[in-house]
Amino acid sequence: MSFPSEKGKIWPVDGVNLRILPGETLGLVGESGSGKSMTSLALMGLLPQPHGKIAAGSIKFKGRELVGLENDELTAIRGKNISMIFQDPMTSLNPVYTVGDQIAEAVRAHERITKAQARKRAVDMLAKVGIPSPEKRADAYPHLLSGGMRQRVMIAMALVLRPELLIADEPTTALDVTIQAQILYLMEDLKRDFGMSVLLVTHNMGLVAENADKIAVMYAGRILEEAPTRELFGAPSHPYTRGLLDSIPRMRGADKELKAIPGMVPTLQDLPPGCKFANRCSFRQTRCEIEEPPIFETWRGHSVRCWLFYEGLFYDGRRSR
Amino acid sequence: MKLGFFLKRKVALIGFLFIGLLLAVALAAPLMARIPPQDLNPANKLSPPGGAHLFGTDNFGRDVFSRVVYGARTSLTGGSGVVLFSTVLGVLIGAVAGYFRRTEAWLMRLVDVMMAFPPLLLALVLVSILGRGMLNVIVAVGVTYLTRTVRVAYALTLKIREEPYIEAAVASGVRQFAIVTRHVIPNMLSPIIVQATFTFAFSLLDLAALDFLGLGIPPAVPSWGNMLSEGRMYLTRAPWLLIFPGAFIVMTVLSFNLAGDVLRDRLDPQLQRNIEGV
Repeated sequence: MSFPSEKGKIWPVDGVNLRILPGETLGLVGESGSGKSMTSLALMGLLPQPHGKIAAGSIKFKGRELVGLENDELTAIRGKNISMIFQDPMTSLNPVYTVGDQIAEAVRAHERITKAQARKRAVDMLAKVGIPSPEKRADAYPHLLSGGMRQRVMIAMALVLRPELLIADEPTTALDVTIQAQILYLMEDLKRDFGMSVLLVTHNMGLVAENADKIAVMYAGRILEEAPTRELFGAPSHPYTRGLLDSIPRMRGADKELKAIPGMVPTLQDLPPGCKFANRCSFRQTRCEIEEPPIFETWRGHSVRCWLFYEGLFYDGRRSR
Repeated sequence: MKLGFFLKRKVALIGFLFIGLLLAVALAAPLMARIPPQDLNPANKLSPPGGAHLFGTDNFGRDVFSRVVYGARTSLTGGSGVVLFSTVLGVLIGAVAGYFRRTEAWLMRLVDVMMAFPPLLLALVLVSILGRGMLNVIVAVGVTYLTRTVRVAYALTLKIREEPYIEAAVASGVRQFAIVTRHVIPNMLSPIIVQATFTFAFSLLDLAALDFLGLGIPPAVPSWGNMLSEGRMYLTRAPWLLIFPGAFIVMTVLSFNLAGDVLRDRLDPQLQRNIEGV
């Protein structure tokens, strides 16, 4: 994926390879600017226009290639097969329409049904996402609802057509903690009901720990490590992943000082030629600064982009459960 | 909108009242004016205000009051026509130019070129091409105001298109056409309404100016501009021929400007807080 910038093209996402199976939740974790949101927008064909481009690569959905599709064809897929929930429920609903209208519009964008039928679907869906007296709430304007309610409406809007894949981009970041838990339980319930797959994009390790089956850790536009959730937390392999986990406060040993990862994320305008994390890595070798490491598979389904795993040379501490 | 808000702003209230009054007068013109505005009465020409002729008579003995009343019809129709023409077309062009970036360069440069003409001159040229008559005059003046509305609508579209709810609508599979008509345009209506009130006020002046120059509504039709144009010969002998239509033009334009100010204060969320603090 490329964007033009003052210093030539920049590549916010490069060489990202993800696979989500039916009914599976994949957590995409990374800090701000790591490219996780861009990845999810690219899946929907929603890269910021007119400059964002998928320069190379492939997005396959149920065997169908999405890269290079006409906008009309993508529009037919959006909302119907692939849906998205956005970070900020406060601004993601159109202030001039009732929430019922907005959900009904999503239905009518894909199915030829009457307004009354669409409204009924909207009300049913509002009930499903746990909104009390949905019949009445359907006629409410977004500003009358609380943040948690609005996020439920967003979920209703995204799921009303029972998409196979839901992309949730920081779905709970803008909500307070108790509401976060409610929304996550709701998503989990609906996921099971509908049998859909979820791409959960977040910077919150705790969130993916509880909700994801697989986790991919993203940094500077690359996936640095990918593994099933238990494996990732049990045996974090990439120095970056370990750094991330070390910087989370824990219940036990709370008096220990939290470790921060030194340094800053490199800017996209001048990424280092070698490993993108090299300048902050405590295991850095000369090779890391020259040559970007390929992906090594250390265990079944566990892959790491780090020279430490070259030819099975596992560094000390690996597999110490 | 709360009535209390308008009461607080008494001046604006006068503006709204005058607009209401004018509207009533224009609608009930045949009832208000007993003497038909075309009736000639040479025996009684240039008689001063008072008596049977409240506003006096003109050089053909026509009743000035009747002509002012029927002139209100002409002016309000003309102003509404200009507002309708420039707003509907302006919003559409602006939204298209702002949303579909490929059309942007062409549409907006065309608008820039049109803005380079002095407005009245452009209207004059158009009327000379199209000919006189209400519809042509509305189009001629409407085109000059169109450019401003396009600019406003274009700027608003650029802002609204980046709103998360637009992205959310796109992500739920709503078609581009529906995005523009159902999501972008309704969200820009408040500033557009404010713009429309000012367009109305200014277009009244332009319409009167065209009439005055003899390029507007045909002289047989009573309009305030025509009355000024015909009355100017008798400025010293019969000043009421100019005073009454002139006063109505001023009052109407002023009222619409006041109304526009209040609407802007009311509809602009950025200004809202300041006003409530006052």
